[in-house]
Amino acid sequence: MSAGSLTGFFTGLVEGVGAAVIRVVERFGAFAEIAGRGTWSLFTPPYRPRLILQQLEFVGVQSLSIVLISGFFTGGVFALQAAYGFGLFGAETLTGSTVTLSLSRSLGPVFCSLMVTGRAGSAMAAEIGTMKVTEQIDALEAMAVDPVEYLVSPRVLAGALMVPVLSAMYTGIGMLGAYMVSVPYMGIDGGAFMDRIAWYADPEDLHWGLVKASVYGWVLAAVGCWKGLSVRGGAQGVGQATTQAVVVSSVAILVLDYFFTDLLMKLGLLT
Amino acid sequence: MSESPFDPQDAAVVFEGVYKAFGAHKVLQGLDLVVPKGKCTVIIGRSGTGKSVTLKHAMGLIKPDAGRVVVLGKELGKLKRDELQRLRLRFGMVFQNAALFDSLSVYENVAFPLREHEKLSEAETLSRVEAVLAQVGLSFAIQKMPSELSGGMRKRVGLARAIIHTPDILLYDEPTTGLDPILTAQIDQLIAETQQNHPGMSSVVVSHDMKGAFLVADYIYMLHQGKVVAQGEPEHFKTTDDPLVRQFVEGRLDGPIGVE
Repeated sequence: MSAGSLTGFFTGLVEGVGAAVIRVVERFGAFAEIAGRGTWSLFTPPYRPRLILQQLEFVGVQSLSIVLISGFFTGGVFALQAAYGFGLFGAETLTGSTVTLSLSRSLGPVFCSLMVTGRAGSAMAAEIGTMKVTEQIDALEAMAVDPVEYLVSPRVLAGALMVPVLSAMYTGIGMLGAYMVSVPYMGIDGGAFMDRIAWYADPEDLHWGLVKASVYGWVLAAVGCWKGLSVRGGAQGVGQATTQAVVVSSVAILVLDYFFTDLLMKLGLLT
Repeated sequence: MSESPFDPQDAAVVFEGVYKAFGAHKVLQGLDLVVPKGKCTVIIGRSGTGKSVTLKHAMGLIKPDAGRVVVLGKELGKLKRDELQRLRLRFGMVFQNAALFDSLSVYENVAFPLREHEKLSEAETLSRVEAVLAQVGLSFAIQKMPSELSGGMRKRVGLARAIIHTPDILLYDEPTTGLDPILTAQIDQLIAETQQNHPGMSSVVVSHDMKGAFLVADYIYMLHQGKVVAQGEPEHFKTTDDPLVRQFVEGRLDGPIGVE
């Protein structure tokens, strides 16, 4: 390879990497602008209680069945596995406390957020994306209505408020699933099962789990709205935005959960 | 090409040397155009010549790469977000596909600008919506959803929504595209009536329907390759021997415009 072509190769490489970095920074900037303005405008007029109630219903009430079903079976399957593992050294009664700690600290908020992402986050991206390609977003702007205030603010608030509620229900129903599998099905003593939960589980676990769920709810709604508002093209663009909303939110929630948990442990807030 | 006879200092909208490109695709290439106050201005030209982009510049929905857009004496590029929002309150816009909100009924769609910007009682809102729906002949459709309306009805609802707050400037983006000739005539008639009923209002109609343009226009601009290539009163466009204008007006395949 000649010196000239080597120089060209490295120039191209640097340009390619530079362009990719700029793209990532631009996208993160667009997300931060939409999410930040959408959150900030919750504290400034005009207030739109009707839209907020609609979104609370959409994110919360309409996600309830899927959250309860998945929560019950998550607790159940976790109990099956845990009871088998603990049974190897005769500690089956720890099944309840293990399931409770895992669900309340991390699995409840994370799994519940992933379920809500699949149902509500994707729907937000699809709905807003469709509004974008059918000029409804332009129509909002033409009528002097800020689309971020009108569309994003109620959704991020609904995500931040309703996902913790759903997460608490997910954890509760998961514990019921674990109890049903452990006690009537596997024959573990019910009193010991409950006693271990009372012994090892702490309200702080649930408290921080709910804080996490609130953050993940905000993230999934903000990402859904951002992807919807970023749609280009027609139906294909809407489809891509919907898929990307689910993928980006899911990865973000899992990554955030790791760092969040690590931070809480380092700060001594979770032991 | 003749100069615009209108004073830019007292115009509704002024475009001065506006350039806009989307990637490598150059849309506006030095657009100079003056929209006079209180008249109906029609912008004609082939698809893709930048007519709709011009309208979106007027509302500040798109920013020019170069040049100035001045609306009612205010340069859009210098306005802050809240100032631009206040200026937009003086606009109404009828979108090509109506852009009605799917999840809202006709009543809710038309009432939308009032609910957002005017503190009216429900009875007052209903009365204003009924009045404006009567103007566009759609009183019977007040409780329908947009999905239950035909294309022409959707555009009439879009017009009702655009004029409910009596804007100073009303923009129409291809209002008759996709309609049959009878519905086209109906919409053209409605545009003409709306202008007559609101004499102080400045209207801008983007269209390639020459019959409608001659019916509603006080003044016509023709765009080609991102700039104005002809302008004048409708009579001028009927009689000029400018080959660009003749080819477009008569819809001929041969001529300087070319066919892809």
